[in-house]
Amino acid sequence: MDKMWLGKTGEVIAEKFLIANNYKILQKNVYFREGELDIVAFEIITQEIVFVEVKTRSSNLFGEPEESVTHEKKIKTLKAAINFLNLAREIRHKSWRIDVIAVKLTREGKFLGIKHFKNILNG
Amino acid sequence: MAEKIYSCSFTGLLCRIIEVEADISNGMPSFSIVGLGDTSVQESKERVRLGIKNSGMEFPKTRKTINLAPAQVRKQGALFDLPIALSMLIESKQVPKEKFENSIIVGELSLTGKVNRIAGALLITQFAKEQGFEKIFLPADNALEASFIEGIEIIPIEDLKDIVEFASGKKEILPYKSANEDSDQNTCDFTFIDKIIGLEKAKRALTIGACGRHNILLHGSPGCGKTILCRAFKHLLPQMTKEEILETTKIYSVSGLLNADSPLVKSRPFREVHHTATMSSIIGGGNIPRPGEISLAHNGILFFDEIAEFNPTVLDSLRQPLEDKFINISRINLAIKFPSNFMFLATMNPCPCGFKTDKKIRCICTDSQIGNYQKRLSGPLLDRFDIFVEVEKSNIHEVLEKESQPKNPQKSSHPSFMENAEKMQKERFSKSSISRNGDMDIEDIKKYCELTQDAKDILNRASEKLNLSNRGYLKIIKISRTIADMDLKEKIETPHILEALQYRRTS
Repeated sequence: MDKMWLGKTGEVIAEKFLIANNYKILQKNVYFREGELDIVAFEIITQEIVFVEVKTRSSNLFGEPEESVTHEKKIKTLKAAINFLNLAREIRHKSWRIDVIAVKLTREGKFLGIKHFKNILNG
Repeated sequence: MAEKIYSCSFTGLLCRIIEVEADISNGMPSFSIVGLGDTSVQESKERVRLGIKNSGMEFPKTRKTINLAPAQVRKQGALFDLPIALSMLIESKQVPKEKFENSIIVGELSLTGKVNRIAGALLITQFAKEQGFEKIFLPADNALEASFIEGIEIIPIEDLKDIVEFASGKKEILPYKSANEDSDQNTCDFTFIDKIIGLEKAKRALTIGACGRHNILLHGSPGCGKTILCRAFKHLLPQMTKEEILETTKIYSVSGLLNADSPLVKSRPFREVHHTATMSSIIGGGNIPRPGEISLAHNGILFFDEIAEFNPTVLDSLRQPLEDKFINISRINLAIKFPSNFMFLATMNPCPCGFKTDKKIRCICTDSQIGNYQKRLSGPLLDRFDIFVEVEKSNIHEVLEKESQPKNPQKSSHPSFMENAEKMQKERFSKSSISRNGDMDIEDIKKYCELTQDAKDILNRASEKLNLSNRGYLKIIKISRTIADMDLKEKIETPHILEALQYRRTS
């Protein structure tokens, strides 16, 4: 199975999941030199900007998807998030956080489960 | 709810109870250990993870935090592996906690889950007992060493699986009982020193030194047998008492010098140090101070061969521990006290070429060379030697001839000397904190060293003639006390004083 396709599928699932949980999607796949943001969303209940890193896995051989979020990846996401905030004036004053959404699929691409880790940097 | 179990850490010879708590909460996978652990504590993450996994249990995937309290105390060493793994298994409900109430847990894990030997087991066991803990869980390899301490249940652990099954009641581990103590082998062995032929004066001096623990400096020309005598001397020492074994073993235990074959230091240590040794290797030191040679020689002998070749700064650093019988090592973080009650034995040549005192070979050194050579040992250091002996070369033909002859029957009188001295000193110091004549201070000398009138007169006359220093004066009394002990005499008599006077420095 194609890695790209896997990632995209995961992101689509994560997006649907967020919308179902009262989030508004602001932007997707934002690229910066420092790093990228898979999903930028706005949580309506808490009024927070949420930067989401989506991790998708189709096998458990190398551990859970969330285990593959390394420290470097966290820093990259953080830098990208700061960049994003600098550019987006209208939301700069809002509080924000970084989340990880871990999506598990079967080898054939069927949905197995989803986990949402909120505020991974200091939670 | 964070579960709490107890472990123990030590710096120097000082122990401290450490509480190990684990918390497992939901969140991104992470594993952190807080509480000022050094690198080996941080690295225990990997050992714990694989140890748990390879023992067939589940390593929690979520957010794990370990706290080692008190937080401000620096902790080092791998002995927290086992308590960390256990607290995590308890917290994740894989192991019940009840069996670990009121007990100390220490041990290093290997990746397979086996529990490895740790340093300092004896020290920790003793501390655990003093603190009123009922049980101590420690590596099976350390059980023999720890069983020297009585009054606490010692539970030997082979591997992580063992302790887990024990906790859940699937397996019974019996508290370790030491096999009956080894038959007391008499460490006084005269065969070694009897094999050395001639050199009677030096042998006599060494025997006196061994009886009363007096520091000895031997000098003589190269090849005259100084070093051989000193090495044979280690077999002459009296047996260690139980307290002495405990004290010395503790030092070896924290240095990690014990192994499964020799879990206790039962014979007096004999530490021979090469003259390239640095100050911190001899005195003890390091960022976290470790005992040096003087502490490893505690209750035994520290032997410096060719003492004049040592760095003078190193030698002078011995002055204080020789006097105080302990050493205080101060570093920026902490100060640690190690005991260092040793007998100091050293050899040297009288001059650079070595033949100044030789009767046949002429010395080729100039006066200034000799002066410089002898100056390498400072006066205060020399003053701390009690007995000075000049070793004279014995005739090699004589030596070879005598070898074939049956052993001189007169030699067998040595052991009785030693036994006498042992007995007298034991009676004398039964109520005081010291155990040897060499350790007496001025109060003890007043109390225990009674001289006959004749002996007193001779000593006073000698001290005037020879310009004895106060310390030298007391030293003569101490040595003569030992000689009198060897003769089973309550009072010090003239011959004892006269013999003691022979052993002072001549220069």
